[in-house]
Amino acid sequence: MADYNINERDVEESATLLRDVLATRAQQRGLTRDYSESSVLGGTIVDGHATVFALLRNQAREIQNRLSLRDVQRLPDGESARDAADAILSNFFRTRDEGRFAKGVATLHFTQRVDALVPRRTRFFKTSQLVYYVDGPADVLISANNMRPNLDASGRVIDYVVQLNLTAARVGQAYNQPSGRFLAVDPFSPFLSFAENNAPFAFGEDLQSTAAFIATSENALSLRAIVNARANDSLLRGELFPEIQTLLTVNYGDPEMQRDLASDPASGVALHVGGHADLYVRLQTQEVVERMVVEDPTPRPDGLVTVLRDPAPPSGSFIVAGVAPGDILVIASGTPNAPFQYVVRGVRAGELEISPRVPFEVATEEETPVPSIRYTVGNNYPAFDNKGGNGPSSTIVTSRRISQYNCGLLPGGPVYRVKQVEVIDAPPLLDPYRDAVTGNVVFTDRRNTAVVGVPTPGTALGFRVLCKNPQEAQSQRAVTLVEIGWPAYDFAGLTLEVTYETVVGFSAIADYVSDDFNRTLGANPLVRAFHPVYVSFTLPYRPRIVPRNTLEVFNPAATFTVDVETVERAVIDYVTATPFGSRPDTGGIGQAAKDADANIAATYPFTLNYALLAPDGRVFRYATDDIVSVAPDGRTSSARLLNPGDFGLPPTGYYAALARLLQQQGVSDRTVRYLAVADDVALEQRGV
Amino acid sequence: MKDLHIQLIDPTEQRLGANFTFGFREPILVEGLQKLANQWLKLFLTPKGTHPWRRKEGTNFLYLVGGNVDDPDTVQTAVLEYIEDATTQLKNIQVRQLALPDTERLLSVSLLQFVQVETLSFDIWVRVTNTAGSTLDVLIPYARAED
Repeated sequence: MADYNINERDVEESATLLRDVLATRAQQRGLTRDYSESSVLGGTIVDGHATVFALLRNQAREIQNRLSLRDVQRLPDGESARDAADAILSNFFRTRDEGRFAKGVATLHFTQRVDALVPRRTRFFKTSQLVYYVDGPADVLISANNMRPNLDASGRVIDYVVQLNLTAARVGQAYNQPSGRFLAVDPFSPFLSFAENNAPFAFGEDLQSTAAFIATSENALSLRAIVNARANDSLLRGELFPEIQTLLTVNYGDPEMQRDLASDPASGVALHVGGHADLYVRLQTQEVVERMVVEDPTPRPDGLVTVLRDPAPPSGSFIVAGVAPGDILVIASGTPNAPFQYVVRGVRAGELEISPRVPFEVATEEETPVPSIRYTVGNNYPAFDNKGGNGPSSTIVTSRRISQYNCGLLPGGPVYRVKQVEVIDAPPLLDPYRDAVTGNVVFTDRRNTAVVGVPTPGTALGFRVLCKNPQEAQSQRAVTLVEIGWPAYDFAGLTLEVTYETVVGFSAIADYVSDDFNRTLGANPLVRAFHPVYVSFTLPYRPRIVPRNTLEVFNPAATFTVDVETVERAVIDYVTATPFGSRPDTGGIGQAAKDADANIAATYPFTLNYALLAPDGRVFRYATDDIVSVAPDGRTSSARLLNPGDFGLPPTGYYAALARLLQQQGVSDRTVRYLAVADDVALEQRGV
Repeated sequence: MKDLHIQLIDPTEQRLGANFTFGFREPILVEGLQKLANQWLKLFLTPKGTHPWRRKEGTNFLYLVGGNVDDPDTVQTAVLEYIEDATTQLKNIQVRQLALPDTERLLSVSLLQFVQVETLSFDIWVRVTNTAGSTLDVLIPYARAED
């Protein structure tokens, strides 16, 4: 009966139903007929048809179940339920997310430095079932020149290594394998000794489950445009970019919406004027490495033209001329809207940076021919020329390229945890500050304030992350600078390498939303990544004790082994997967640890540290003994801010001021997400 | 309540497993003792394990027919056992039928006559008694495989 999906119970139930129907029908017609179990009529008519009737009943039930999405999502996620959901939702032009291939980087170790050709179809076996291929459309030629010598502690060459991008053979989370050696590789070079992946494979996603497919389709009937929260969720998360795990639309009147505030400086009143929408998206995170030249003029990611550059400024330097922030720059001619006045916000020898609230209309350095500009600067109303002027000259330009002392500008996009900052071509003068392992000048101490003194060699070197437009932080328009060094040393021209986490697939979403064709007319939508909160802790636990008999009572207690790596991964997953609208807490972490390994008998109270990477680049550091909160109130949790002094807050009683400070940057428990990394999570055995 | 009557086919035209007809011209409805005898006979002649879901229903009587019987004396013992089995099963079914009239409620079935007519051929008569006290003598039909 298995092929027809009926069992004896179904047949028996069908017989009972048939018996009732026939008996009732006979009764209604005034006849007395015996269809009971022992009767001849029952045996021939009821029992004889019960099997076929059961088959038809089950088919009818299956069809009925597949008519409604409500019923389909209750069914086991088998092929027929998937087909039914696909068929129903295809009526609304919805298609199921087909999953993602896991990606990763393999390090190949060669015994000799000889060219190697890796055919496209070369299989890399992580297990006998999990196979990976070269991530690319063609064979890969590894040139001997690209093989890097792998040295041991004494400087001896162990082997030669090269990195190769791999992709999983199939979609699925099972391919998100941790770091380690590959079991086998199809032979392609006699000199290949082994292959390994030093970082876990990531981004593998299963075929979307029927329940998830239905859940993301709940808003499928809404308007296919970026007009309201329901439509945003349906179109972006449900339709175009299923990799978005959560989408939050912040707009008119929301406390987190700061971009549309019009404030009156005199009264201090700020009103939402509308027209803006921040679309916060939660995506997978990824580590990236960016190289940049310190103080190299680089276009602002937001495209604003905020710099006036003059190779021959008054007195040879704007600084010498006494120009200061707050002075007024008057462009007398050379731009379409001239004459026009601008507020100076930054002063460098040959550059003036103006307020981005009223930027220049055009970047004249990008025009052909370059127009001649004439300007004056000063603080003497109404002429504003007491600190000098110049022009007309075509060497004076307005520019969207900015630079800042001892800073490198990161590409526009979300910037999460900055893992490493290093200068890779430091001159001999910086030798005392070189890292013994890498040979680079490495900055590890992320600070909220600038370094003022010359650091002592051997101490952790400080760096800062500065976002010049916090209201657009964690977006493609974010102007994020990494500041290194100390005032006494100019790092200009050196190459800065920054390793940081960002989110995957962000730019495609941001481009779509800001595209003129897609965005709502007159609207100012901005896609942003949730502000990250990194959680760190040491979880104390006691393993289960192996029961002893009375004869062994004097032996030391033996304990069951806890798989620390698995537990650490589980608690990291717990934190990272915190659903939107909820917050991680110590109880949940303890429970996640116990769920991950039954050999954990108990977990003990511990302090949870966490850090909010705020939109302006500063770090709010907190601790809690129960639940995480970015704006603690001192009443509903034990969460407290550890560095209130960094923000000008008093050591105690700062709750209202902190909440206000965060709100001004659009941060709340709604607009943050929680992350944990293996470096910041540890387990500590106690009790035995 | 009336039930469909199963009538004996002429013994000379019976085939293995085909001893009854619903009617030579048209089906007949019966009730009372005849209905009871029909039901007992149906149960007695249902080979065990052949019902689609009530696998224990029936007896092993028909397995005797054409079976490898060495000693004819053992046949009567087996038949007695099957009669007892069928009677118990029908009584168990009727326990659940509360509205059954006495004329259709089984009291007992006894072996009335067991006569060997050829080497391995028997006339088997049973007496069906209902709780009203009426009896009906019934010839148990069967056909041999070679018929």
